[in-house]
Amino acid sequence: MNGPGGGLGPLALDALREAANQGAARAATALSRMVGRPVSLAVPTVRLLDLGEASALVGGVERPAVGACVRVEGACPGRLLLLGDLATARLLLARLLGPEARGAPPLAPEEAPALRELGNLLCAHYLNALSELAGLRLLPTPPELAVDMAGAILEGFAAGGPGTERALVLESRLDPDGKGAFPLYLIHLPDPGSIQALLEALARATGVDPRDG
Amino acid sequence: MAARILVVDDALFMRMMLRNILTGAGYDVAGEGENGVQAVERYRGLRPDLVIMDMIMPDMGGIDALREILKEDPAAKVVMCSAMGQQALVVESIQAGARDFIVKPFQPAGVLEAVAKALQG
Repeated sequence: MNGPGGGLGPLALDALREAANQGAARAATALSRMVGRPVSLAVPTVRLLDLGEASALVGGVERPAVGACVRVEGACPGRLLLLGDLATARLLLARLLGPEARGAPPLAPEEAPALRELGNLLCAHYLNALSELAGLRLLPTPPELAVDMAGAILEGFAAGGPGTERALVLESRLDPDGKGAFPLYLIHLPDPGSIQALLEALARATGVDPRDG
Repeated sequence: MAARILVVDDALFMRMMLRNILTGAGYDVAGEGENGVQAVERYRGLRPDLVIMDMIMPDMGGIDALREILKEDPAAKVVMCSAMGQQALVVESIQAGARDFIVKPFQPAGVLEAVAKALQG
């Protein structure tokens, strides 16, 4: 992701948002089956952000947050982090799982696996959609869960492998029961060269070159 | 004369992909829209032979736009598409009057099969 705007123009961002929305739709289908009622998940915006600014998404570097991080292996390696404000994430879980999820510290025994599974679902379905759209093999490793200040989670994420400071931020809105959506952020940090490989694959597979717009 | 098709999707990338698939098969993409409101307006102005419409869009979603279009033209032919492949949504679309439902990510052959079937029906 070099050059102005990280080398990603509006059409490339649109293609990645579409892949994210297709992944979100499938993740919502999977979540709906798990909880037995309709769950809505949308990705309204995609933007490029300096990783150092990403903590502002959840209220600042010192804000308690939760992150589920996976390594992306395959044709376009990199890392994905599902990041949310901790209080918001736990309220979301309480609405998703019912009153047995308490939403007060420390994490209840059922909350950590549920948060990890949520990260797993969203990351895996995003990668599946991207993989099918671009005709590439992209595989996530099992997610690692971190509960810490937002700044610490993002520092750990940045230090977890090669990459630039510019990340792709997919803002997601998850509504577990039709009573209002919670924000979650899927942060995609491709390894150097990965994003160009991805855009080339998208152009080959779809006949539309996302680098043209 | 080539069938005239209106393509409605909030993602420019998907509209371009559909345009390539359709024009490559000899269809005429008469217009495009990026939300349900534009779908209804452009249908009114263009009277295309077929509409391919995404379900989840800002301002007005695909199902509401489908109902509006059918109110104005009960013979309108609309194929819905979405990554939301749940049976309930497919059933809702068909009950609302859609001719077919394509699940994203789609393959060109699947799109062309649904278009040919809807145009014949």
